[in-house]
Formats: sequence, C-alpha cells, structure tokens
Amino acid sequence: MARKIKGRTLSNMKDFKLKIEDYKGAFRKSVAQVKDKKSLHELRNLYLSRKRGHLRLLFDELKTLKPDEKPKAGQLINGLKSYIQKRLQSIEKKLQTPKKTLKEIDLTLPGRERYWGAPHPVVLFQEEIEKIFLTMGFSIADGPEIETDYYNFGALNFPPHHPARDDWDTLYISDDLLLRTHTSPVQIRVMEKQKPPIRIINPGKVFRKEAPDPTHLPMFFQLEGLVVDRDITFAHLKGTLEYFLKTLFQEKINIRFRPAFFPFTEPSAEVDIECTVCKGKNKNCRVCGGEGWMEILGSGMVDPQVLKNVNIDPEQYSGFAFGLGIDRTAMFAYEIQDMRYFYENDLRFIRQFALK
Amino acid sequence: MKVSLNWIKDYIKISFSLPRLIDKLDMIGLLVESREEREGDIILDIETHANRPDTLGHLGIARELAAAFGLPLKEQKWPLAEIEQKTSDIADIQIWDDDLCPRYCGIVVRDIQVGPSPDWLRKKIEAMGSKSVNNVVDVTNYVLFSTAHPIHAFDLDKLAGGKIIVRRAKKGESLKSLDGEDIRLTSEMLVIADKVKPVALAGVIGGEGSAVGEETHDVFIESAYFDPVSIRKTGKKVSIQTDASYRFERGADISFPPHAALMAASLLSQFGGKSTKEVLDVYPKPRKNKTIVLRHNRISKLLGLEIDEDFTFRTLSSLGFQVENQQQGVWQVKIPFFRVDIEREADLVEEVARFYGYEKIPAEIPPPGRDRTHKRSEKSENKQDATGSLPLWI
Repeated sequence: MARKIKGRTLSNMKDFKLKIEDYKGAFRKSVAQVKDKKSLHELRNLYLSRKRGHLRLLFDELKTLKPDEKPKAGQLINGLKSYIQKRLQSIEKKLQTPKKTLKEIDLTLPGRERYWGAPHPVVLFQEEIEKIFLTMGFSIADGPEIETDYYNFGALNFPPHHPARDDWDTLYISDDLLLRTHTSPVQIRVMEKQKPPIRIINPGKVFRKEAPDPTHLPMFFQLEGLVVDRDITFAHLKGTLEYFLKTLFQEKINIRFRPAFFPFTEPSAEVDIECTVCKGKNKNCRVCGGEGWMEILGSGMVDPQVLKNVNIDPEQYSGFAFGLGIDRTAMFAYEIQDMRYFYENDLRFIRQFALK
Repeated sequence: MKVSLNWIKDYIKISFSLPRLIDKLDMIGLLVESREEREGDIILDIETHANRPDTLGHLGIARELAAAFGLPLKEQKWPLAEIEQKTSDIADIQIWDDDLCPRYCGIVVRDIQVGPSPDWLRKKIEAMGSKSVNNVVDVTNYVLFSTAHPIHAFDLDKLAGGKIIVRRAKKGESLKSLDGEDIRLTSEMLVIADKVKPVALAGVIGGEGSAVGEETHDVFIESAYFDPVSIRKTGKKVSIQTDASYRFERGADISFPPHAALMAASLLSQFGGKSTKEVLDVYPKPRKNKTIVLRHNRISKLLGLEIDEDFTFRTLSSLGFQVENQQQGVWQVKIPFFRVDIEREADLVEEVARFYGYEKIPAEIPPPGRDRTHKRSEKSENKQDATGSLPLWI
C-alpha cells in the first residue's frame, strides 16, 4: 500500500474514510505482536496519547473537512477509538492472568494408572480357530448381517411354515428382511458365485431372539465352514473336525459324532467333546449337566437340495459343512461359567486373555 | 419328549443296562438330555427333531430301539366290546375341505362311566408331565403319548344332529375352547362343526361345549389327519400350542387314524364302553407311499466306507421300510407314512449311517488343496489401535 498514513492535506470524506481503515489495519497488525506490558503501553501511547497519538492527529484533521462532513467523520474516529480501547483492555486482562506455578502440584497424590487395552478374548479365539483352518487350505469369506428370508432359510432347505424354523428364533426387520440367525447364508452366497472346489470358513456375528443367560445371548459369533468337491465324504468331515478340535484344545480330548437334524445337511451330525471340567465323572457337573458330553459343533453332508438351489449337481459333487459358536467354544476352552462376561467389557476380565 | 422306560417295555423287551440304553439313544440321534426316577419308573427327556414327528410317541422311540438292538416290536392287541350298530348308523362325517383334512375317522363308544382314571393310567399321564382329567380324556392322551397320533373325544349328545362337518370357519364364527378362551375364527381356519356350529378348532383344541364330562355317556372319537401348514398357521394365529397341534404341524401318519380310533375304543371298554361295529373312515383321495431308489454305491460315495448290503437291507426293513432288490446294488424302497422326513436317497443314506454308527465311520483328512478365492474384506480385519486394544465391534 503506497498511501501515506500521516499525510496532512486531506480535504474530502472519501480519503478520510480510507485513512481510518488504514489505521485500523495497522493497529490490528501491531496488536497481534503485543507480548508484554511494555509493548502494550507503547502501543497505547502510539494511538491514544493525548498529545501526539494518531487519534489526536485525526481529530485535528477534522478542521480540513467541509462543515457538513465533520459530524460523520467524528463518528468514524470515535468508532475506531472505542475499538482500539476494547482490544487493548482485553489484551491487558490476558497479560494479567497469573501463570500456574509448580507450587500448585500436589506431589503427595497417588499416580494415575494408565489402562492399556488388550485384544478381546473372542477376537483372539476366533483368530486361533482361523489359523487352524488356514493351514488346512481354507480361505475366509464373509457376508451381510442383514439377510433375506431366502438366504437365511429358503435356500437352506427350510420349507416355509415348517416348525424347524422354531429352532432358529429370528429377529425380523420386515416380512422378508431379518438379522441372520446363523452364518450359513454365506454358504449360499459363495456357492452361487464359485464353482467347486470350494474350501471356506466364514466367521461373523449372528442374532437370535433370546434373552441373555449364562449360555445364551441375543448376539454372538459363529464360524461356519464349507467344503465342496468331487468325492468328498462323511469320513472327510470327521477327519477335518477331529483334527481341528484336537489342535484347538491342544490335548487329548474325546470326541463323538452323533446323528442330528439340520434342514441344510443330510446326513447331519452334532459333535460333542467330553466335558473339559469333569471328564464325565461328576453326576452334578454344572458345565455338562452330568451327562459327560458337551455339544460343540453342528455339521453334516451338504443337502442335495441345497446344492441344487445353487446349480451344483449333487451327482457330481458332494460336500460337508459345519458351524460352531465362537463364544460358546471359548467358554469351554477357557472354562468360563457365564457367556455374558464376554460382553460386559470389564477390563480386569478382558485383559487376562492377551497374556495366554 | 418325555419317555417312560416302563412304557417302552410295552413295545420291546429291554434286557440291557440303562447306561447302554442311553448311549444307544444318543448315538442314533435321540439325545437323552436328562433322566429322572419316578415311582419305580425311569423318565428320560429326549431331544427330538422337527422332522421326526414319529418319535413324539413311545411306539416311535421303541421302533428306533428295536432297529438299533435288532429286537422285534411286540404286537399289541386291541379287543373291542361291540354293539350291533355301525358308526354310520349313529354319526355322519362330511369333509367339505379335503385340502386341509384329507382323512377323517370316527368311532362311537356308548355307555361309558366317566370318572377318575385308574392308577395305571393316571401314573402314565402324569409321568408325561400332563394332568389327569378323567378316564376318557386320559385315554385320548394315552393314545397320543403311545403312538404320537393325536385323537379327540366329543360328547356325542352335544353334537347337534350327530353330524361331524370338517370345514373352514365362516365369517363371524367363534369358539369357546376347552381352556375357556373365546377364539375368533377366520375363514382360513379349519374347524370341526356339527349341524349348527363349530365344536373344535381342528387339530389344535377342542371346544368347551362338546367336551366330555361327568354326565357324558356316549363318546365320539375323532382320529384324523390334518394339513401340517394349516395347523401351524392356525396355531400361530390363535397363539395356542397343544400336544396335538405340536404333532400335526410336524406331520402325522396318514395311515394311522383307524388304528388310533380302535385303540381308544378298546381302552374305553375297560370303563364299560361299547363301541360301534366299525370305524367310519372318510378318505376321499387315498395317498400312495413314496418310493425311493437307493443305490448301494451311493452309500459308500457319501460316507467314505463300504457298508455291507445285508446290513442296509436289515436296517431299513427293521425301521418299517419295504425294501426290494431291483437289480444288483439297487433297491426300491417304499417309505412308510410315519416317516415324513424321508424324501430323497440322501435321507436313506443317513438312516443306514445312523444305525451303522457314526463312530465306526473312519476319520480321513480330505485331499490337499488350497482355496485362494476369498480375501476377507478390510472391515473385518482386526486393527490394533493406539492403546493396544483390538475392537470387538468390527
């Protein structure tokens, strides 16, 4: 800006206005530089000194204006004056606020503990399971948690209006949309796109219309597996799951396969492990109910109708599928009595598992 | 399903220990969830499957055990005290909606002394967790818990015109149920009606107005087959589930209604009842048994081991299937009506595997292979945050 602020020979209102603006801009710049009482004092003198301050000089210049412009110009100068005063006051206040001194820290207070988080036990356990299947050549697929009735039930060979649906207490969003009750819909989604050979696991959240109790939750984690190829047999199902369970539990455990019913597998099998707590020796065992066995997996040979639903010829291909509750299995593996502990997020509980 | 060991003994001879029996039940897919001693009997609580309504009665459980242990099923005789009249001389059955009721049988039993049940009957009903009502109602429940076939008893005098009409309810009709509840009927619901009004919600619950009580002398026994989907929809709509509807909605045995009626009539003769000469059986379109072709090589292909042909034949026969050797290694298998779950070859393979024993099937690792098709999407990867924790809500 080439204009001189201090010029003395102004005679019209337009130039006077610009001059006021220039002073305001210059003040703003300087006020930002104020760091201490001394520079504040200097700045105040520069603008507000009664003898030589910029504003005094501006008032003097009023004389050079035409009489009818004088009141307006006077207002402008007063406006600038009160702006400058306000700014200087607030800066002064700030400079007066005393800084905290070391004396105010109470060194006798106990230290504050910093809680470091830890991997959640269910996540850890899921990874442990995934690792075992990854070494067996499985890949990991996933699918949506909101499903249609077709993927959750129809394609999996549940007839409409069949009481079999009662075993899967469902939370419906609308007539056709629901929160998936199992991870099995992912089977269908994968088989629709991928032709055999298929070898996948798919872990994920599932939902049931159930009140929480020590062994039931309205939301939990499931992991499902599917193998489809030529000449896949029930013996392969047994071999795969036995290897998996023996690796997971890292000890000699007894396993039994017993006939069961799932609409989407035929033949179907449930897999029990001998109670990890009482080994079948305590008639009043709270974990296995005294029967000595705990159900751990549902499984079976993929139902021919399910294969047909995804255009895979059951005469040429066969397969097996299995599913387990990750939380439930973690309960047995860590000998936890109540599944709800997993979701109460008590750090004292959660942090233990990372150490394992 | 509660199962009384003494009741099972009516059907098969048990000469082995309880642990062995329980283990066998577990291993053929009838998981014993708990056991309890009760008045010199042992009551097992068995987990049954939604596709196996035949196991919702002692006969069905006994049939499974007979096949598992290679035992014969005892034949039971149901002698009648008869009168000269035929059922059709006294009662008239009309099925107006045979899509929902393909078969309806009835028999009349006269001069019954209605009263408390004798001890043997009361004990059995109570062992099932039900309340003993009177000897007639208890007999119908006895037939249900024995054979899994639900039947119902009407007071004949309270059926206007001696008529039974099986039809959809009319608009505006209602029924006061046995439990004293007023049920508003809709036109999708099947009812049993007399000449004037509905007297029962078919297969779900009887009506108060036609119920058997102290003053009853003559009884009309209903033994029918109702469409499972219709029963399920009706039951859901009126929020009533009974021992009867629980079985009908899973699928009853359509060949069984005449037997169940005779069994009830025979038992009622113990209380002075005299039954009409024959069961009135309305079955407009008799159904044929399903037939399924079973290839022997398919069994080994699915199970991964060779099973003796003779074993397959014996197992299926003892379960009530009619097995004919069509050619070498191929069977024609006729499915009894009580096995509503058997529809494909794979279902028969499961039957063979179940009784062969899953424990005897070898465990093999599948041939090596790696599936590289899927990479789990980014969102489900567990990323560690600054505090070292992994989020659960991923």
